[in-house]
Amino acid sequence: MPNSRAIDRRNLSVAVAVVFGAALSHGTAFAVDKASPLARIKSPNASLHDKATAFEELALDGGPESIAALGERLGDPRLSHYARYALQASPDPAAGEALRGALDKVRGAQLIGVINSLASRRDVAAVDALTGLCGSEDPAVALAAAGALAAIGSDAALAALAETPVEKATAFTDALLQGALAHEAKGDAAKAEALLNRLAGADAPVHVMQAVELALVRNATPEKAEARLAELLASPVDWRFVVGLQAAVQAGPDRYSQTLASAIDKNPPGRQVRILSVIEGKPGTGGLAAARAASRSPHPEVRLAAAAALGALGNKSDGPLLFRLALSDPAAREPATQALLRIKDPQLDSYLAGMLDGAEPSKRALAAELSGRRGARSATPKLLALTRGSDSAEVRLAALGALRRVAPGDTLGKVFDLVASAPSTEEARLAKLAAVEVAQRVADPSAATAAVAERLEHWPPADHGVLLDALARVGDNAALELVAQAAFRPDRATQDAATRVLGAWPNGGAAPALLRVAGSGHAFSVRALRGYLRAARQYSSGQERIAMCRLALGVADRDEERLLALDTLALTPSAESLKLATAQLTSDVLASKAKAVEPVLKIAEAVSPTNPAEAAAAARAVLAISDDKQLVDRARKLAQP
Amino acid sequence: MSVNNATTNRRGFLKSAAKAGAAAAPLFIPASVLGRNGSVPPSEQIVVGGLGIGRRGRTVLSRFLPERDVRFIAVCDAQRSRRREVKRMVDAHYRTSDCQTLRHPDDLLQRDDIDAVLIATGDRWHTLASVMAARAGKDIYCEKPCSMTIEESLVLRDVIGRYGRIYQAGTQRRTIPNFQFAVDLAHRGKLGELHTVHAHTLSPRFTRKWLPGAPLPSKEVIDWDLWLGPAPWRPYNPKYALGRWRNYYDLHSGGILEWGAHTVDLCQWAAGADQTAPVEYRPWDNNVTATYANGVKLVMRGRGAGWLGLGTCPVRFEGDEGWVETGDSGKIAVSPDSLRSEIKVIEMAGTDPKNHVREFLDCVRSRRPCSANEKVAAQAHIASHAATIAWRLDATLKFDPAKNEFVDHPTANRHLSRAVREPWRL
Repeated sequence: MPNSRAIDRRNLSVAVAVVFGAALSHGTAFAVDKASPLARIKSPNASLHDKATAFEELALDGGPESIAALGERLGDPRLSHYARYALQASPDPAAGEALRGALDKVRGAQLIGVINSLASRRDVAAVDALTGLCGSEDPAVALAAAGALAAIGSDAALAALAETPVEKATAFTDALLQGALAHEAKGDAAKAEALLNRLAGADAPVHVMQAVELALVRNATPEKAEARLAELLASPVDWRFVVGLQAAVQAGPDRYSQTLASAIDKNPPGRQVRILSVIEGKPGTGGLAAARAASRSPHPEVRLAAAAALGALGNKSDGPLLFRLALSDPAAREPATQALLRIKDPQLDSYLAGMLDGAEPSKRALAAELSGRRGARSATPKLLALTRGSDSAEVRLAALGALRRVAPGDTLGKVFDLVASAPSTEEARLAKLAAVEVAQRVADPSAATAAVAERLEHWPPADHGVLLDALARVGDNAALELVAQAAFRPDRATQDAATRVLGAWPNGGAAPALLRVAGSGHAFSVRALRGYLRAARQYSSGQERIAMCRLALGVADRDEERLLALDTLALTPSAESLKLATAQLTSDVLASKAKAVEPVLKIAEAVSPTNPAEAAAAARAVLAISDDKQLVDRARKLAQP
Repeated sequence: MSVNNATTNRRGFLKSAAKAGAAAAPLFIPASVLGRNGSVPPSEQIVVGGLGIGRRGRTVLSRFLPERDVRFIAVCDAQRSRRREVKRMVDAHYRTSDCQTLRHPDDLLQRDDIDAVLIATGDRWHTLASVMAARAGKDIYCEKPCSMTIEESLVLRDVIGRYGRIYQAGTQRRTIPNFQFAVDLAHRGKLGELHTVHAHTLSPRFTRKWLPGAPLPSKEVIDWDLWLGPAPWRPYNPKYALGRWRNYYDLHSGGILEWGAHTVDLCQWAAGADQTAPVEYRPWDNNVTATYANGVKLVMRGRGAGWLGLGTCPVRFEGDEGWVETGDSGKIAVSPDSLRSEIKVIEMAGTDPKNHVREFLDCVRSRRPCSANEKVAAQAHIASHAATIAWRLDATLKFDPAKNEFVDHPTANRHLSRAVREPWRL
């Protein structure tokens, strides 16, 4: 990387901090001065902040009249960057002239800044001057100048870069690479190659040589590129081999699969693994054949890499090999499973469905898991049968896990029945998870809601939770109404589950039901009210939110919820919300008035510009009850006319 | 060399190999064939360093550390407290006291034994740190938003590409199943012809104010000039360094980028627009509606604007036959009901970078591009920056994605870049 420290950035920062610190010590105003930006940057009395914002304003709309004043500040360590902020953005050619004019007037960091801004402006008129600066004795300046030439990218700029002396090629690495890529973008491979060869002949770091080699392959003719790639893949130097891999990747999915395949046998196992990882992204037939051949390698790591490649490229016919691999070795199970999940061929699902009929529990369990993770809905009947009929707990558990993933919505009733008949706690847990997920997939919400309603009448209350969770996933109005009704059933377990589900309902539709519960002396009225306020925060805004807070304050029995309502109210500052919030400070209901001061002040501060009288009234109410110094200070500011 | 040389790490060997002139560098073996339970020899480990690791950075780091093929060895930060906190975390994980603490990024990037860096600084540093790392030959995982301007987005893309480095933007929702599912639904035509994609964004409001200056602690405690980096100078105030730098124009890329780096990126993906950006941007309230060349709308809108409440960072894709909406809760809503049968089980939250980190490490090995690589990240950021500029100017703007500039609008084009504070250089 460029050694930017060469220009002594650290010492510079000390100087800058000292200079700015001095400016600040003379008093920094934090309100933006209303004078014109140009007047502010010229004013000896303007604070640094006012000058800074003036420069930023000029960056966005400064006209020709500002250019001269900006140019004069390019050498000022305090203001040079701000001046460039404005000049760099200006479309006025005079801004470029000002920057170019500073090239022989400013030094060190400021000079680098000016060069960088010319680079950003792609200032072709600066090429000659920048070419000269490439020979600067200050290496950081020379580096910036070379970088600017590359960024400008004109024919003249690139020609100047091409003249870089060999002894500077390493220092100018980035510029030469950028220049080469500029030629590449213009379709001039010969010139790109010429620049790259300047670097190839230099004593550059390995990562630079990698970048050069990559670019050389990209710029070669197809025949030469293929030959170069083969050469790289056969190189005894590992970084060159890695470049070969990356060049193959960069060439896209349709090229070099055969070149890569041919390289496998010529390399040791470690390299074969990496070649196979690149072949994964090459759908050509050469790659698939190579992966199949490598799956028979005597080296375990190569077989696993081949399995991964088969996952990307293979089809149903690769299923048996991968299935055996997954069961043969614990270390291979995950890679082989992943490969089986990746194979796109839908016929593989048929193969796995066949394995569900097998005799060995471990094979049936794996087939069930894979069917689920592959999303093979066609396996649902067999999976349902296994959950009920298999005498292997491993198989039943795997089948339940798979049903959770694939069972369609119209099997919801059957999955509910699995909950009711589960022979173990773990199977009941998995069946409940499956039921909730299946509920999300129902295409006929009314049928699903009816299925739940029926079970609510017959299932023990302790199991109602899963039914109500399922309704939340069904999510339509009928489902919501059924949950709302359940909240008023006589048993506590159902009330508990129903209010929990209502409180977490995924939209604002549950708010009326929550308010009904909150205002009815219900055992879970506090939870319902908090859920109602959550809905007010998350799903409402403006007048609706204020109205909800008013209703919440009307039914709240505790200060905790009253304060929560005030915090929610503070999200919608307005004269109306301020009036409602302030009223709480004078009411007899709220005991923790001190805690209500913050939201009241927050609203008052927000509405003060448009409703100063209302804000002042609220502030006076605060002053009447608060003795917190910070809050009192804030209130006094608002209370002043 | 032997790939199983347990006495050296990968970079150490690379350095000695390079000095020898033509010796072999070690080879990474893809993680998929390393075996879940086997130990990974040092020669096969990816050596990682961290730049600017705060709260979010530590969350991401916590996903790097358990990976068996990772060795995290050094942290660089302008703030001592953060350096120490990361060192404590790393040393506790490895049960050593080896994690090096550095103040200046050059010191970390010049370490030849570091293969990759995790960058989790504030926005102002993301592009600069990434291009510095690429020029030093490091692969990069960088938190979002990845750039402050359209120009930075392009420089980032170009420098990463120039050096052939692996880059993963910290937009982890690209590798999280519910978002992938929603995109897949759009790509498979299950929604019909896509006409509108919606991205949740935050308010684009910003301030040019400064916090009051405070006495500057020693450089060891906080190197303020370094903390600011390429951003314009402003007086020190400890609140900035404690994370309250958002919404300041010079320090924060803005509310649209804050979430749009994720959600606009997902919309671009869903719309098949990973290699381009919308051609028109129309601001309204705190929102922006953009239009792609093919007529598809990209609506960047904030909270309370009709989202279903499926968690933070929601996206919604609408076609002429249906729609899908999802967010960080992992929950998915679809219409019509017939699409519900397509919904898959989601087992991961939207903020968890686990998959994203693993993908990055796999790509470091295979040299294949990550899903949130520099090209797609640049385009999503360009779209978000263009929207931000339209909102700031309160003007409907035409944009040319080939030239990456606004059409016939010199004032808007003034926003394309911001001068980098000297002596830093993009």
